[in-house]
Amino acid sequence: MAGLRCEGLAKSYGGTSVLTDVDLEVAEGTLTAILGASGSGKTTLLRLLIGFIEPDRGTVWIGDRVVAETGGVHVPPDKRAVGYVAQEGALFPHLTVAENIGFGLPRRERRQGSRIEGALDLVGLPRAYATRQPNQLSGGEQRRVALARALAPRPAAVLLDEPFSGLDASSRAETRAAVLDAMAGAGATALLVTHDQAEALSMGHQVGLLRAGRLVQTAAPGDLYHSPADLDVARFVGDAVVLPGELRSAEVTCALGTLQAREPTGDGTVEVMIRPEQIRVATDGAGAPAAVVGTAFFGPDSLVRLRLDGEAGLQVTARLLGDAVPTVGASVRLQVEGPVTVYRV
Amino acid sequence: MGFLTGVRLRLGLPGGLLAVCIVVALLITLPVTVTIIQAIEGGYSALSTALEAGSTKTLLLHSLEVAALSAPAATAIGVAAAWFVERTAVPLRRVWAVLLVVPLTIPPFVVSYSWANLGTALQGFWGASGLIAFTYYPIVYLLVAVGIRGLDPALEETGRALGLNGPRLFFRVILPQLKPAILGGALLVALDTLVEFDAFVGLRFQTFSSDVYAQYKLGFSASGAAALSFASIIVCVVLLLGEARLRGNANYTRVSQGARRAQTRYDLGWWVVPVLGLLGGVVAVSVGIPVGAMIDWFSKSSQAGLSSASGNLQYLWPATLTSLELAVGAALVAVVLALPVAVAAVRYRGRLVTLVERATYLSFALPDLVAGIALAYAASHWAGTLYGSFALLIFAEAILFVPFAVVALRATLGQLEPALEDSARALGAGPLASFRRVTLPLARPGLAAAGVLVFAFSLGDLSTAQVLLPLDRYTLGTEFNANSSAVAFAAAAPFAGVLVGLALLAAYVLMSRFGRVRALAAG
Repeated sequence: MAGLRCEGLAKSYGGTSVLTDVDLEVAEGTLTAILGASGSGKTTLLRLLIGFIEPDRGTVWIGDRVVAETGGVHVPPDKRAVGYVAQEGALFPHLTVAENIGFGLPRRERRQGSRIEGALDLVGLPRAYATRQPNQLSGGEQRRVALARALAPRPAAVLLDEPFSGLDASSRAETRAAVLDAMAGAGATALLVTHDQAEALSMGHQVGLLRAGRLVQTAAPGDLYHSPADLDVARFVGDAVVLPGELRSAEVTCALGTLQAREPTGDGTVEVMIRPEQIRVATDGAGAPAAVVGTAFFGPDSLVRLRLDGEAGLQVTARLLGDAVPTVGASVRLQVEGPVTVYRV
Repeated sequence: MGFLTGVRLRLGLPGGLLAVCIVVALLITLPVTVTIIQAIEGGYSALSTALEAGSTKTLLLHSLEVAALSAPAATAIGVAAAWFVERTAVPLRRVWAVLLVVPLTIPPFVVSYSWANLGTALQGFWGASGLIAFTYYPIVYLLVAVGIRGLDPALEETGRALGLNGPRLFFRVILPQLKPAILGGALLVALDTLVEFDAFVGLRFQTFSSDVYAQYKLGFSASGAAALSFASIIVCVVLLLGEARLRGNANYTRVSQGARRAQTRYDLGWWVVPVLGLLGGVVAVSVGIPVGAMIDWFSKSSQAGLSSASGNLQYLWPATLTSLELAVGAALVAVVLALPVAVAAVRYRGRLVTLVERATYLSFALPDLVAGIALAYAASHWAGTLYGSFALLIFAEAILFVPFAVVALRATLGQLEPALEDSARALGAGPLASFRRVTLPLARPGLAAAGVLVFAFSLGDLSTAQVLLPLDRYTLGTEFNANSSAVAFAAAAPFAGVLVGLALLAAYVLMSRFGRVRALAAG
């Protein structure tokens, strides 16, 4: 059974189409991340699912219940039993943490400490926080309280709008982990909207890529990363090296040698997409000869820019783990590990 | 995430809210509607006689000239005062913040007599313009102060990084952002000036409104006054359209984007001397003159052996009670009327919303007296029990001053993040529950500010009370005026004293509430 589903969802503003024919299914108890650039329509999708706006066309189900349908049903957000975590949390500044969490509970349950404490436990915050004011919390803590508030009434689904935006790197990771734990603990069906690839890939059981109002691809994170629907998707989801090649019976020949093609498209001229971490850099031995043009050190890994010998200055990028980074100008040999993805030109 | 996340346009106004807004707009524009009906009933000849009378054009021109001089002057004073109090380290900020709004709460007719008290030099055009500028600049001051609190310091910092400083930074980066507040304030001052009567009662200066009064007092038919008011309705509509055009697409709702740094206060250095001089001068003229005049009257009353004053003192307490009853009632009614309009104006876009919001300003289209007559006419024709009742006067005061309540509420509501209401809706609160549990508590400073403004204006109103007050009641204002008209200022002094005392209290409450507008909204 689907926890949350929509079919043929479309919305336009003043003649400009913002969402076109979006079909999506979020299985019960799983988290789907919607990944999209600015203006791709991801917030509009979220707001349509919650019911803040009405679709022009299409149907929305929460559980088995139709909550929005073309030319008829439009259940208002307060009757949909969905949880909503707004950007930056949007905690009510005039209420304490406990009052915030209890906001969506029936009146007699608001006073029950156990519900509030249970919600705080779920998001990994100390129970003593119940009496605090929102402005006494850090940004990450505010997001967690916002999630606790959304989960407290046990909604059929939770929708999160860029829940980690504006947090610094360390509290972002910590908050992310706390949110995942809380979701798993609550067994919640969730949809998360983000522009951050790493966030989408690491959090979603399923990731939907939204581009110009269309859901271009919906897949498990690994499949989206390794078998993107097209080169734009490939470049949006991560760094990509793209080289021209010739495909012949599941093997593709390009400047980096003859490689195994994933899901071959049929023989002929293709573009080959290789992830930088697939490229192995060695000082000698077999492989395509290249010269190091530049390096960028990130701590756990480094990106190395390389110019291939002889191929009219063709450049590729390799990602290396650890400290073994070659010096600029060094001559190296390149080999590709694992299958690559090909696209018809 | 582009235009959709940030602005969150909600195009469709819910039917219930729309219906309420339309009823409110109809109530507020009732005097204008009735006046037009009266003018039409009076027929074309009455209209042309009234409009073509030699004095009408001259006096209308007088009013326009005063507005043309005093609105920009009030705007300049208000903007400068707001900037120095809100954004510089001028000493005694909190004291200035209260003193600078006091003129708004002192009844205009008290100010008027106090200026007249200074001598005949201030009787003419310049005196009238100065009086308006120094009485109504706080409107601009309040609006611009809210605007300044809503400015994102990052824009200012960017301007400085681009090499702007001092006045260039102020005029190129800061002032343009304050355009909606400045234009809105200037509009309110200009509209108010055109129909002002109370502020000129002490000065021997003839304006359009005084012509209307003359028509009324001389026993002309109501339709004569109504015909004259046609002119002010037209001027009002022209000003409203002009302001809308100048303002363009400026957005009142702040778009929240991440945590904002606190605003810095500029150190004035030796400039503190002229700035203190400026603020001191403004307060000396706007508060010093009325308070000084009152001390003068009181000393005269003691010289006169309290004879005339003590004769009146028995009326002081009942007059105070009636005034308070009137002002509190009007404040409550005005806030209730203003709330749906302000919510619609802040949260929804569309022609209908703009129309309703602008319609509230039409209560400035008529001199108070004409509005009063129109309401009496409406009551006598359609709601007999209200005719001659105190409730009708309360209602009249409320709709006369409701634009101030709308403006104050809009300023507060505009700074509330829509995400808060969205979250409440998603948590199962219906539209009304979300309004009651989230919007209303957060808008409290704005509600209080709106209420206190209408309270102060109603307290200081004279001309509407003169028309609509039941015969057996009297207010502080009517008693003051009755005595001051007889040039018995000494006898009038106690009434003015209570009025100014209440005005100071109102100003203090207003500023203590208003001071929290930004703080709460940012929470």
